[in-house]
Amino acid sequence: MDKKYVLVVDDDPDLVETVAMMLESKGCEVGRAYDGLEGEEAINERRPDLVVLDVMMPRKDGYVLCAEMKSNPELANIPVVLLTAVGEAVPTTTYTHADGMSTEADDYIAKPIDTEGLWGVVSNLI
Amino acid sequence: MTDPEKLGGFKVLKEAVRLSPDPFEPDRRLPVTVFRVLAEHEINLPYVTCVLEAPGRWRVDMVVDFKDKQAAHRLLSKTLHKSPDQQPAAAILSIFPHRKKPAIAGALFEAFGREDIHPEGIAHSPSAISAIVAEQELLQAGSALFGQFSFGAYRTPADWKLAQKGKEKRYKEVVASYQEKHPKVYGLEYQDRQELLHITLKPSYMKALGAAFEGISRNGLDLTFLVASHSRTRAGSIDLCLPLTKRGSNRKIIAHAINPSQIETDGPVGTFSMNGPHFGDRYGIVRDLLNALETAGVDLMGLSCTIASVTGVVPSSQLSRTIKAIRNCFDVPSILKTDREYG
Repeated sequence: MDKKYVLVVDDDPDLVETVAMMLESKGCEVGRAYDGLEGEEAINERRPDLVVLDVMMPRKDGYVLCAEMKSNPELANIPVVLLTAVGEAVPTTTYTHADGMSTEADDYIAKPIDTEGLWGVVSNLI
Repeated sequence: MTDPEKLGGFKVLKEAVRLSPDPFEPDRRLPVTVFRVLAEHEINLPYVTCVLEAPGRWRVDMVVDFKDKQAAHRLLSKTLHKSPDQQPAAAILSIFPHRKKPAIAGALFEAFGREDIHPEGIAHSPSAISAIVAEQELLQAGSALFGQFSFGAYRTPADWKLAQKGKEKRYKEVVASYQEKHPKVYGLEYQDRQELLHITLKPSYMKALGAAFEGISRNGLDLTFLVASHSRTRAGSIDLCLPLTKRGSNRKIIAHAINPSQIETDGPVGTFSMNGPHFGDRYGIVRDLLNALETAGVDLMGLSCTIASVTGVVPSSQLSRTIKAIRNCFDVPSILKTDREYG
């Protein structure tokens, strides 16, 4: 079976590396991007089988990128898992779960994430 | 000329102050003592390095936000009965991802050496290399990177300079603050069978070490720990961890670039890195880790905290005890052993 190619987009480079190591240990090939615009470029360069997408990022946030993907017929079928830091964990954020649900992401995981839980979600979608 | 190494990007934290406690006498509990006091006063530490230079003698550098400068300085002075050495206008420049390739660190040394920039500290996380530079050298340091690297986020030095307007504000905006009672770690990775190399150097080391790191990279070895420290009052030092090699080739390659008498090696050691969530924006993580290791009887040899990770060096024989101590102190959902076999 071909290796699944997963793109991880987050502005925390250490988190990208942690998630990438977990996915690689499960046999995935992993692409890395560090903000929404870079993520968009990476998707256009090579179609991923799934995107793990942070919400709060500079230049273009995850909600916007996810909404753009889901409104583009060529990209709409790529599963997107949002990493959200919303609600009680981050009282100062302006992002909400309702925003996340409206982006049509295929699933989301609340930060601080559980990498094994993330793999459970990812493996269901690829 | 080879193409510049393509990296993801770099982050900048401005309006920071570098503090280096400098006790009168060696104190084996120095890190435990100072980070306990700072945590009790809720001071965040976006950058910390500790290296055991000799029995009982620690070399400690930290960066605090400008708003915490007076409080941190006062607390360190009161605790150690001596003022810490300080750089009052510092910035942290972090490049990523380094993918554990020594050549990336080497290219960074070369870039700084070429521009005669002398960072006061360098720290390593699983993804990033962070350098403390004087704030007045920040633009020059950022521009110097473009000769050695290319970045997805910034195509040219002009892009990067433009992006600096309000950059520190953005950096802080995207750093969220979590306050769970039992801190959750996203991931913990560790490597066994490593070698710790301690190098004493003058500030002019940069160019020479760049070539040495390039040589180590050609052997395909992972760089698992990197800390550098330099100030006006102390000689420069670099500590790094590489996989143990049968013929001591790490030392030979570095000794080829600098005077061999400046290198000491220690091993076997183990390294570990725990990531998340945004330790730099949450006081007390370093304190909790150091307390956990001390309680478990672990003899810490080095520590590097930057971006959102803490990386440590311990004797190989104490690695499993270290992992257990971390699991007792933090919520650790996944653990990965990431060392590789080398010839």
